[in-house]
This record gives sequence, structure tokens and C-alpha cells, in this order.
Amino acid sequence: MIVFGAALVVGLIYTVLSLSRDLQAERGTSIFPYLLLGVALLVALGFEFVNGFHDTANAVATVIYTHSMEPHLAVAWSGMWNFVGVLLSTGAVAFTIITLLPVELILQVGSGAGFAMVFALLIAAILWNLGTWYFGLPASSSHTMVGSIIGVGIANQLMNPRQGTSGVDWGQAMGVGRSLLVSPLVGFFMAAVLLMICKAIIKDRQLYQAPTTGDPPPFWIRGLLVFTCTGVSFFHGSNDGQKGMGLIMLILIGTVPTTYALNRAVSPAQTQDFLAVSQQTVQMLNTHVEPSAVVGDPRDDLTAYIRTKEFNANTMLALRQVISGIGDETAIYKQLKNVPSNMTRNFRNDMYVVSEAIRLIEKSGKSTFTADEEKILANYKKHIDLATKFIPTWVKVAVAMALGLGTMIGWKRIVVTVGEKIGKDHLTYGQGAAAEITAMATIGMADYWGLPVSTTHVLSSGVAGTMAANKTGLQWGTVRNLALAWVLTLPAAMILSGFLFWALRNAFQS
Amino acid sequence: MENAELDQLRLKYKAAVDRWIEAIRTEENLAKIDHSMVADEAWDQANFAEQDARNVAKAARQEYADELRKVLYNF
Repeated sequence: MIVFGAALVVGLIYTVLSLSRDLQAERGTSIFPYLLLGVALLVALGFEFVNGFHDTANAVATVIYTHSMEPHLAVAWSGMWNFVGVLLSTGAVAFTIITLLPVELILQVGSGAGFAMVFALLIAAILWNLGTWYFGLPASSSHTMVGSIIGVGIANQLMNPRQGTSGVDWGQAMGVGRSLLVSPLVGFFMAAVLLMICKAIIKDRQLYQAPTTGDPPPFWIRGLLVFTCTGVSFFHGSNDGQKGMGLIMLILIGTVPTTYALNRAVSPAQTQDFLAVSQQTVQMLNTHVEPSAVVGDPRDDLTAYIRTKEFNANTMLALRQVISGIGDETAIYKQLKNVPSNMTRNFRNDMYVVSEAIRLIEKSGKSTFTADEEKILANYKKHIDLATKFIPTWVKVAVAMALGLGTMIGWKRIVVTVGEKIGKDHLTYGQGAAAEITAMATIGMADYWGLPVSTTHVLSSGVAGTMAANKTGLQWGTVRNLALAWVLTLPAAMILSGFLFWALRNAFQS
Repeated sequence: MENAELDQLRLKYKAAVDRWIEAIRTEENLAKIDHSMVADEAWDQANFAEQDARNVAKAARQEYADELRKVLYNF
């Protein structure tokens, strides 16, 4: 606890000092961007804070109700491992969440529309998470975020009706739909089967009876529960923490682009390497450009491709033009840190559309590139991502603090629901272990095989599964409320964020 | 929390349950054989009183359970 407290103090000082040092590079006369930055950062960190206490139960409910850990120690332990998880995360997931947002809003993130998008989706996610937390309902924070993103996408398209809803990533909504079906089934049956296997193999009746004293379980099962609590906390930090980081980077790019739009730490050697790779890519693309292809503004053409996902001969030409332009300008400035302030946003936007276009071409599976040519494209993408997809350490530290602190506050409501209100009997040592092992295994499956599962849904369903396997019955009122909250999360977050986007966009325009 | 304080909460809960049971009995007794409008109205009113008593009993139970959790689980 003392170590964690000290880490928080050091982290806070480091964050404030780093941010103020970075801001010295900005030469604005107006205080408005700084105010906006302060508010936006508070909202983004508030989202992580709420996410922390909303999801704590996934990690600590079973260790608390099996007396494996003292509750306050358990939440501090979980908070610490969330903190470590965020700090050790690679940041790779952080930008995935951004790719789900409407591309035209990403490109104008410093405008009113861009800020309306960021604020709308963060506030909507916070509101839904707070609402479900208030009623003690463990709903999925990831589904809430996806719903908020889709809501902004739909509202944006409705406000620009000519474009239809082509910019909305409906695949994400389908993923949530699959998760709604898969997660409860995986959690329920995996935990139930695990408990039944344990009962068949380990003939210790004490494990399968509700504890009558406050004594902890046998050492090995206690160790297992603490290990799974640690794992779930760590992976929650390393995964959910990154969602906030990506959004904070959008805010920073929008408010103080000079400092954050481009990675100024890219070295001269890396820049030279980039120029060579850029030339190689342009030459390769030249062999694919059709003579009949025409292009207006190449970035607009690529943006249209990202939005509609319809590749044509002009897209290839536009891709080559933008890549060629980025290479030429990089050659002029020698290093990214020499790019003039008024050009950083344009430079970044060019790099962003190229990276996204390449990602979509690779993902489409319809490209005409050979395997070697695809390697050249992937290598080029890796280089431009180094310039645009970076996360300053202080952002990681700030998110780690918000998530870690959130984990330690307000956790009781959902812990009580998971521990007391799903089954009709007290959670036994065996049930706690089966449910938590299932939750941790699920995180692994989701990470490695990309399974569409929610840890929150799996743990709650896992507890229910073990109750069913123990033939102790379920509290159907709670089960009904959980199912309702899970099904409503996506549409509710969509409606909330869509409405907020509309309102904020009008407010920023007036 | 001291045992005495827990006992007070337990007694408060039991008293609330007693009042709830009484409200149920009152409502039940008001289901008259004459099936009149007046009797129906009185029966409905008794049902509202029963709902209020149930809410009070549930709140008392929650309060007692919350304090018990603090003793048994330390949170």
C-alpha cells in the first residue's frame, strides 16, 4: 500500500513535469487550447478511473468471498497490478480503438467536430459505466466503448447525409453481438465443467462447501486464486488502459499538435532508413498504377477509400502520390522534429491515411500485390506508424494512476453483486477458483485467438455456472437484470454518444 | 461494529418484518366476500400499505446485511 502510494505521488509529479515541459514547445497566444486540453485530459482520465472501479469485481470478487485475501488488500493489490499492466503495455492496442472512429473526424481532430467526437464518446462511456455501477451491474466496458464509437459514427453520418453510414464500422457491432452470445455460454459452461472435473479429481469436501468461518482456503487453492486475481488485474490494465491512451493521444494531437502530432524522437538514422523504404515503396507501387488512373486531391481519395472500403485504380495512384509526397517532404526537413509547426497536422494526416489505407488493403484480402510486395508495404507501414503511433511515457503513467486509483475506489457495489446476488448459496472455494480461472483463461483466449468474449460477462456467467453445477440455484432477478444490462449496453451507449455528439457539435459550432 | 449495535440492527429488521407480516394479514383480511367497490378500495389501500412495509423491511435487511458484511468480510 505504501509502495503503491509512493508510486502514485512520483507518477503525478512526473506527469505534471513532463506535460509542462512538452507544452513549452507550443507557442500559442491563446489560453483556450490549454483549458481545452486540461478538461479533455480530466475527462479521459475520468473514463479510466470509472473503468477501474467498474471492472475491479472481475479480479477481486472471488478472492474476497473465498477469504483468500483481505478485501482492502485485494483491491490495492488489483490496483497495483492494473497500474503495472498499463505501464508495461506496448501501446499497440491503443491505436486500434482510433481506427474504429470516422476517418474524417480523425483528420480534423483539432476542430470542433473532432473535439465533439472525443468528448461525446468519453462522456457517454462514463455515463453508462456509472449508471450500471450504481445499480451494481457488471456490464462490459469494452462493449460500452464500441457502442459509443458506433453512436458517434452514426450521428456524424446522419449530420452529413450524403455519405450514408459507410463510415460506421458495423463489423464491431457484429462482434459485440457475437460476444453477447458467446461470453455467457463460455463462462457458464467452462466454469461449470471445471468445477465438476475438480470435484471428480480432488476429493476434498471442504472445497465444495460454503465456508463456515473466515478461514482462508487451503494454501494451494488460495495461491491459485491470488494468481488468477493478479493475472486478471494485470491484463485488464494492459488492455483497457490502452483504450484511454489512444483517446488521450487524439486529444493531445488536437490541442497541441506541434508537440504530439509527430514523433519527434525519430532519429536521423531512422529517417534515412524511412526515406529508402519510401523510395522502394513508390517504385513498387509504380508498377501497379494504371495509365488511365486519375486523381484529384490524393489524400481525399484515400480518405474516401478508408470510409467506403472500395478500392479502385485511382486509389492506387492516390496511395503512390501521398507516399511520394511524404518522402519528398521528409527529405527536405531531414528529421521530423524539423517539420514546421503549421505543417505537422497535415504531415500527420497524410501519414495516417496512408497507414490506414495499407491496413485496409492488407485486411481486404483482395490486393493484387505479390507476397514480396506486401512485405514492402508492411515495412513502409511500420515506419510511418513509428512516426505517428507513439505514446509518451507520461501518458502511460497518467492512465496507470487513473486506472489503479479507480480500482481501489467504489468497487463494493459490483463485488457484492458477483459474490452474493448471482447464486443462492455462498461462493465456495472451488466455485471461486473455477470462475476466476475461467475469467483469466478467457483473457488469454481473447488476446491470442481474437475470440469475441467479454471478461466481465464470462466471470459473472462463470459464477452462475458453478452455482448451477453445485445445484444451489440462481437468483433469477439478478440474472435477468444482468442480461438486460448486457443487451442494452451497445444501443444505450450508441444513443447516448450519438446524442452527445450532435449536441456538442452544435455547441462547438455556435 | 460492536455486537450490541449489530443486535440493534437485527431487532430493527425483525420489527420491520413483523410490521410487514401484519400489513399482509391486514390486506388479506380486507379481501371481503361482498365484492363491493368500497371493499375493493380498502383492499387496494391495504396493498399499498403492504408494499410500503415490505420496502421498509427490505431496507432494514439491507442495512443489517451491509453491517454483517463488514464484520464477516471486512468491507
